[in-house]
Amino acid sequence: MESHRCCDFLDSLGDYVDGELSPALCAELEQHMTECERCRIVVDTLKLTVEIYHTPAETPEAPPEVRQRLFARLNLQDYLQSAEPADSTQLAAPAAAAPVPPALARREGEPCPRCRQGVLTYDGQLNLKCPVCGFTEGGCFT
Amino acid sequence: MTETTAAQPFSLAALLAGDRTEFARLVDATSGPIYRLALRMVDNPQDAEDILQETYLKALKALPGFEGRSSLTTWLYRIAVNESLMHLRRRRPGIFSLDTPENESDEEADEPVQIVDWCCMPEAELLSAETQTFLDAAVAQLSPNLRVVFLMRDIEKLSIQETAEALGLSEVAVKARLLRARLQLREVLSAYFAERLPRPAEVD
Repeated sequence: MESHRCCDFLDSLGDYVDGELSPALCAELEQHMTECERCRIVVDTLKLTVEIYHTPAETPEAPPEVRQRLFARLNLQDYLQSAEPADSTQLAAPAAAAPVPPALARREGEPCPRCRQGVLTYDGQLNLKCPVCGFTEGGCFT
Repeated sequence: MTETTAAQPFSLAALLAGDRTEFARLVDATSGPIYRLALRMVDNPQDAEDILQETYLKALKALPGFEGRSSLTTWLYRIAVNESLMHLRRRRPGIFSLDTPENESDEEADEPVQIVDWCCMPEAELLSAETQTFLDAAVAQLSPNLRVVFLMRDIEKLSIQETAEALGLSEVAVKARLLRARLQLREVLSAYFAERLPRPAEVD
């Protein structure tokens, strides 16, 4: 179905992918997706695009020599030994800090991909949901 | 890199008092993500290292004027982004600034064109090294204004609010740019995976 309805949904897709679309709009979009194969594919592949990028590859940290030169430039060389890799201390990048399974699909018991504080559990509709920030896997924010 | 997840938030008072240990702790905790962002913005390790060093040197100088309206880490991102954009401008002068509306009138450009359902792609293909290289190259091709939003939000996992603060943009503008970036990436990924879809078994 090529209609301007499809375009109307375009602006909502960001919120939809992030699970933040209002329930009313979300229901409308999901209804539309059952009727419009084109939109269904666009939405599904958009979601997957974002998920692939969320799956952390070996993200390059700064090489050790870059760190060394940085600390030297800032006159912090004395602190470099005590400041070995940050994982046990604090504030490693969230992507590097949380062990994420190689699979793209999220599973119950995983840390919430949005707030990283809650643990995903299934709600009444069998959607994975974060009890802390309300993140819901791929859909409505209810 | 949000301070809410930090074991201990950084003490602005200690930093202002010239506490080297606290500054070292800040540099240690934030330099990895800052370097990563710079590297993906300018796509050149030497420039990324310059940006990394400049970011902390400028932060040290500007610290007394830091108003605490955003978190320290968001503020560091802001400095690093500005440094990155300056490097890019120096390389290709006169092209863009963060304030330039990102062709907002040109919305037809975002109309989805590639309609290929590659959701059934085998995971091994989705996560292969070849795909990873392609993913990186696809991000590098986004315009700097879209790229920086995508990197902060979808790669470094900052919130919309933090991204907006770091870039000096409204949250609405951040969301709009993020969606444009994602839609553009969806187009190039669709084209890429369309060629790699498993063909249905041929019927004799």
